[in-house]
Amino acid sequence: MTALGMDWRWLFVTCFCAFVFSVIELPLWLAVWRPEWLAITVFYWTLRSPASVGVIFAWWVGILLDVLEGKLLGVNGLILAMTAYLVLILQQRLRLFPIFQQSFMVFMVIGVGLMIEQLLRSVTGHSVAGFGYLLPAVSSAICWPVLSVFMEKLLRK
Amino acid sequence: MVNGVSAACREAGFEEKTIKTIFTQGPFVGYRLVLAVVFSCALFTLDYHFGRADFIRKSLGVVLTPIHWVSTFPVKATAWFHNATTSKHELETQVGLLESRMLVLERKAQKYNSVIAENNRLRELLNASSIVDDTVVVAELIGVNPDPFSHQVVINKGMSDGIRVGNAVLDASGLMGQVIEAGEYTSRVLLISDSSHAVPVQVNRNGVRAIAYGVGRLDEIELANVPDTADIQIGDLLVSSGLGGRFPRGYPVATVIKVEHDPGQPFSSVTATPQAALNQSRLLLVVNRQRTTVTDKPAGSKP
Repeated sequence: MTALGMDWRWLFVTCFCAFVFSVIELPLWLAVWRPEWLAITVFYWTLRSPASVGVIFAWWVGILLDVLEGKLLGVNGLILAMTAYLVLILQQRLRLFPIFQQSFMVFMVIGVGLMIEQLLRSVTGHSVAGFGYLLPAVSSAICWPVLSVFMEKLLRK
Repeated sequence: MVNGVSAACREAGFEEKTIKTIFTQGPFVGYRLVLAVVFSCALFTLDYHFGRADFIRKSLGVVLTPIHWVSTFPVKATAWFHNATTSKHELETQVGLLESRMLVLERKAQKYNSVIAENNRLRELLNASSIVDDTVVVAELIGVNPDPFSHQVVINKGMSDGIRVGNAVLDASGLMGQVIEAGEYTSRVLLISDSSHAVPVQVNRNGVRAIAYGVGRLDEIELANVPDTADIQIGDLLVSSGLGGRFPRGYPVATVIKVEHDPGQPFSSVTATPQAALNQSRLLLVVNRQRTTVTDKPAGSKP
């Protein structure tokens, strides 16, 4: 996280990939483990350049995701805005964390987002039983070190 | 020169921008979050309670089309790979199976032609309904006019689905109304109970014609100018007569619940209750009328 430069091109490319991975067809047993790609992307870019990517950007991306997934409009907007907010207030500590501790924070932040989603689902009348809805947070946390290192390598070039 | 300076600053870790970036968003982050939450809640309300967020979905959906396109690519690629690697023997077996299946279906199709012709002749004999091929679009109710005195609903299909102003709208049990405003993706439907609506009907039992107009109550419509001698009884089913040229004929409209003969009045007053569940149905059928007759009808017959 040393380079604080901002590259809109890469931001666009990573967001596009995250969108595609969010809607790509998966078998059911794998789909419950699908990482929250867009939340990871927002997490990464907010941490990398908090001056350029923040709450409002995350909200817009979330609205696009809502349209893409056909969810109630605003759900992902709210969740991603919350994700960006948490990263922004934690970023100075997050930078100093070793990568596995960052990974744990990814689990926490995305878990909070999933809990908000669960809450909204229960309000609109189709909540999911059990704690299975938190699985994406686990897989996101597992993906984080790999993606983080990969992006660092990519952007250093 | 400037670049050199900034590069030097960066190396020294004193670049102004670097320091700024950590704090730029700091003081406003909370407000931004509040803004995002407020906007999200506004969108929930718009989408969940009023169902009016469709235009946002449609316009953003256009932008997102490439993502859908790309995301189906792996499936397509797998199918292509599977096709490309199928062995010749497998293909031959498959072709053999398909050919035999085609023979079976062709035999059925031959029978189907004669059955259709016979059906048309029987329909003419029975005079059941004209041979009009109605195309039907299934639509979902997405909104109700908030004004209690105007009986209108909004459905989730529009011009892009082939819906035009004047199309009849049905639910599972009868006629509901007609399209009065067709947008690109949604349309507005005037219900038969609205006080500005009238529909030409006939009694299913004996064919007596009348006009049924709405009175602004969801559970009743009235027949206009019915002569005292007209043969209309309680329990008669009124079906659309198709005479106005707007509604297709033969769809159930209402059941007669009250007939009053007042000697002081020139006409008797007939009240009926609509067949369709005007305030309950969520799934509606929009009948897109096309004056095309079935092509396989026997020669010499008239529709």
